[in-house]
Amino acid sequence: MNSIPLLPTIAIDMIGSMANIVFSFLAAYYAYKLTRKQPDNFLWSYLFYVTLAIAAFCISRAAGHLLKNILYVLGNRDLWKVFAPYSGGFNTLCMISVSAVMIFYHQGVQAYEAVEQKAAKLQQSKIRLARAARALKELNLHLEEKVEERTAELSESEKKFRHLFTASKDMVFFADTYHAIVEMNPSGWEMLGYTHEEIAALSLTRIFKNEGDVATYASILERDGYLIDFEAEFAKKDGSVIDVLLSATALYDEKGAVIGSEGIAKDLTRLKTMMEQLVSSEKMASVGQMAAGVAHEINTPLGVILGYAQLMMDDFEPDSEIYQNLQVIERQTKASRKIVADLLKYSRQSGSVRENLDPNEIVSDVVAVTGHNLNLNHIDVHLELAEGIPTITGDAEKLRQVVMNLVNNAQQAMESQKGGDLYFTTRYDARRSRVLIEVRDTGKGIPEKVKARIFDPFFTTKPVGKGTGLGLSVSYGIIQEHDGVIEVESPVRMPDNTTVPGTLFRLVLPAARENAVPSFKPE
Amino acid sequence: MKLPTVSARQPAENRRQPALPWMLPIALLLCFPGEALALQVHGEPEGLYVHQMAHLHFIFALGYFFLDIRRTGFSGKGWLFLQFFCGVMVLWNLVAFIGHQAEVLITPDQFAHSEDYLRMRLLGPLSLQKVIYYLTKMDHLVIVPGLLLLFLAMRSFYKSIENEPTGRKK
Repeated sequence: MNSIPLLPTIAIDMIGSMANIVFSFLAAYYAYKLTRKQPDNFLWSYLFYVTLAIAAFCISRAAGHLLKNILYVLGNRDLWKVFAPYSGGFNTLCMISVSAVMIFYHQGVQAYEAVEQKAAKLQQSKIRLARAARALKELNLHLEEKVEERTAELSESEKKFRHLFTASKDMVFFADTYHAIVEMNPSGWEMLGYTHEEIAALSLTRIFKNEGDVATYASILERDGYLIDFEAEFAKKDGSVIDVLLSATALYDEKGAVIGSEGIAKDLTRLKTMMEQLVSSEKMASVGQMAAGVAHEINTPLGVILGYAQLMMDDFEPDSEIYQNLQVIERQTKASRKIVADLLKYSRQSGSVRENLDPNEIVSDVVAVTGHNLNLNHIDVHLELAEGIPTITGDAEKLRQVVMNLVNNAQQAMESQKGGDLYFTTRYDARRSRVLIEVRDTGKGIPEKVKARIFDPFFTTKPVGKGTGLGLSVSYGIIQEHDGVIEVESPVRMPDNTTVPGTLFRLVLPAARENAVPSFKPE
Repeated sequence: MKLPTVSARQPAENRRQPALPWMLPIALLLCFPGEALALQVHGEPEGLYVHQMAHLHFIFALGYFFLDIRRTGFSGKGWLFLQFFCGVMVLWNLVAFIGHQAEVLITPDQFAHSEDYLRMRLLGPLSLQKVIYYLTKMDHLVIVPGLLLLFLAMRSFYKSIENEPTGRKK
């Protein structure tokens, strides 16, 4: 072969140059679309730059080749010599750029992977955070409901316990480590006679009457943490003493150290009095039964003694010594019979007539009978009889005897001071439906130690021969028979809460019912 | 430590140094450079060498890119096309490199009808050098498929995500 035509190479060069441009631009176009589709994807961005650089390279190359071929065909080879260095230089530059971009792939992918990992972690964190936020929101929502619910329950509970604290009729108190009262309910103030302002300066040491009780209280709390049914005496503001039954619990801090105590004290004074009265009434009842038995047994021989004595008196001259002795027997026997009769009255063995009576009338009758005698003894009588009080059902004779007994006792109580005042009061307690008859003297009063025994049969403080000791016990029996109560105060507590010397007997009798039919109680 | 005391403000002329003594030599050098030895003349073969080095650099970059694609382990037709693209383009760079070298060695007297470009012929007898020259002149037969593979790779990528929702990651 002598020669080979270059035309095929020229044709391929021109067609290939154009194809280069087409394919490189198509590649760049799809890479661009990739970046538009997923703008955050580094790989697409990178490939877009690669294709862009390749497109630039292809243009530089194809343009140079096409220009050269065209200029050569047109015979302007010298002109190509002018363009050739620029074309070649630009082409080299583009090729280096493509290479540089491709080398960057490694670092770029590493960075991309790192970013993707971080992004994935962040995404996971974000998901977890969102989940946690949702859970928290849910919890918060329920928490609010729970808190509201609990707050309402607490408020209700607080209200309930506050009401219990305030409305309790027993003393409820809180004390600190030094036994100072921190808080006390109104019943406590009333029980001790203090005001709320004074409570601040109050302490258990001051309240407990016996100093040893405070130490006992503290030591039991320290040892057991609680105290049950501790009987103590509390000193009131006015100095009087009340009996209380105390229960308390120790209060602890977070470290378990005692920081105070809370306690409930019940006033037992009234209960104690009632118990004493109950014991007394039981005693009286048994004594009454015994007395009734004895009286029955003695009554018959006494009647025989009296009868024989009176028969024998007919057989002797009144001036004779025997007759006078028989008179003594008769007198003493009669006295004995009176005692027996009183005993029977006391033991309610005697018969009685029940009728509707005006309490004022009973008092007035007694005052009318005893008035003169009282006057002689310089005793001023004061009548405070309430008008229009209900009637009572009972035996007028026996009730008069009761009032009479009280007047006699009052008179004797004021004997030593040569006179005094005797007050008769009647009134009606509508709440209890009871009629009250009060007899108050300004005498020496009843000593505390004998107060519990005054209703005992044969108990007397009078000199021998001046009293049988049956007056009050008989009165007690009569009032009990009338379904009433006989109360005694000595010294006397006045309505203004002051006390005055003397004794007050209060007969508390049930008011008669409107349609009650008077009856007769047989002996 | 006792600090030196400054009695009063220095006069302005004492504080400013005259600029002329050290600026003058620079100005003279800039105006009359003469034969500055630091400047190097780039002769004619340098362009070719740079171009050839660029081809070698391109080969290196393509190889690096190819290995990185395989290392990252991305799967799919697109990545396969891209790997083929790298291979074909490496081949084209070699062809082009050899072609440029062959072009340097060929002389104008080895062509007939050199005045008419389209009728130009490579005169015989054909040597290896001439064959290489002639074949490497048709390097587009290599580069065009390479660019076709690039286009196919991009299109495959696009097809693979075409149905995914458009937008930024949230």
